Amino acid sequence: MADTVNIIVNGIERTVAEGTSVESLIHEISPDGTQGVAVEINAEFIEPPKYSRTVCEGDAIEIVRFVGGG
Amino acid sequence: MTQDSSTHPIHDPVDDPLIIAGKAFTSRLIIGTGKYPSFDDLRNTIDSTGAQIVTVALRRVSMGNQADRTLNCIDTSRIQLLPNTSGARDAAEAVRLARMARAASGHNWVKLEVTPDPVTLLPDPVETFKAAQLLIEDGFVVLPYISADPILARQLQEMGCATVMPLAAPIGTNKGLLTREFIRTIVEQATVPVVVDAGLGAPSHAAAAMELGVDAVMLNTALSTAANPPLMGQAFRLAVEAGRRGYLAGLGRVLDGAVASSPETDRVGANDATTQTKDSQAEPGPPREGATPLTGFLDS
Repeated sequence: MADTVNIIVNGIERTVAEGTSVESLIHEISPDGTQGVAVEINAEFIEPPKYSRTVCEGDAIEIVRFVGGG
Repeated sequence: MTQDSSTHPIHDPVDDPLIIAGKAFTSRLIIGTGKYPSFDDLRNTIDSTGAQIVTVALRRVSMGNQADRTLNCIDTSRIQLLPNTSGARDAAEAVRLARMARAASGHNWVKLEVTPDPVTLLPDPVETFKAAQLLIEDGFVVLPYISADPILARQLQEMGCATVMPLAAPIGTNKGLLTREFIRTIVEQATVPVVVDAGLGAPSHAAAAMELGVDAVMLNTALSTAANPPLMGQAFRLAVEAGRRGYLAGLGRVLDGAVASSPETDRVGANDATTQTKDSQAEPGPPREGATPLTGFLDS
């Protein structure tokens, strides 16, 4: 029964399949894939090698990037 | 003239660096990277301005976003990246953004902007003060964006901010140096570099700011909304250099009334016998009130 997990991605609640990796979430939304993005899980920045990790129930994930700004 | 040789040096920007947090820059023009017509325009404008400090923003990646090439346009081996906290509505959001930006970029410089009011986009002084304290404690190099408030500027410089960055006019308006007199006061009381940031729209505005003695100017909209951003970048580069030289050269005194720039004695035709009655009124009279004419060379 518990083959989904509830997480928050960029402030939006989502339900994803158990075993979903952070990397797949990045590829879902990022036009550049993992290039040029920064990822935070539960307010902690994570390095690219850790993108393969699977998401856990309640994880709050931020996928951000630098864009033009003044 | 009184002498042949000059004791006045010619200005070389290398001898007059802008120093922020111990780092020296020869350019006094800082630019933002937002809302250019194209990434090519952005790249060419960064080049034409000669900017050595460039700001970027941090945003969530959303489904359907276009690819963003901003970082590709910035050669970080030559340019100091300055992430901003734009979008932050309070100190907590600003600190969070700054920490994310530091983790993502490896740089600990931050342009602190806390702008809760979406209509005016004026920086909140209280939240900026609180955020600056937290960020300085956390080891950031803090460049705070503020209204042209001399009291706040003093507090932030005493706290340990690397610069103070008072606005010339509300961001994005291109209105120019509306806060001139307050910036003048900030410059007089400054112990850190003063960077006029926001509201400058024309190269002449930037030159005027530099003539006041500010240490650098920051612009974005003036470039991104110009019809030809890279050419405008060149114009601003020249304006900032002109204004800085003007300041260092020491602007001449401002007078009411008029004083001739050519000699007032030995004029051809003066005091000729045939024109004597006319010329009896032709010699210079006493100086008008408010005038302090140079007298040195007339006496010799």
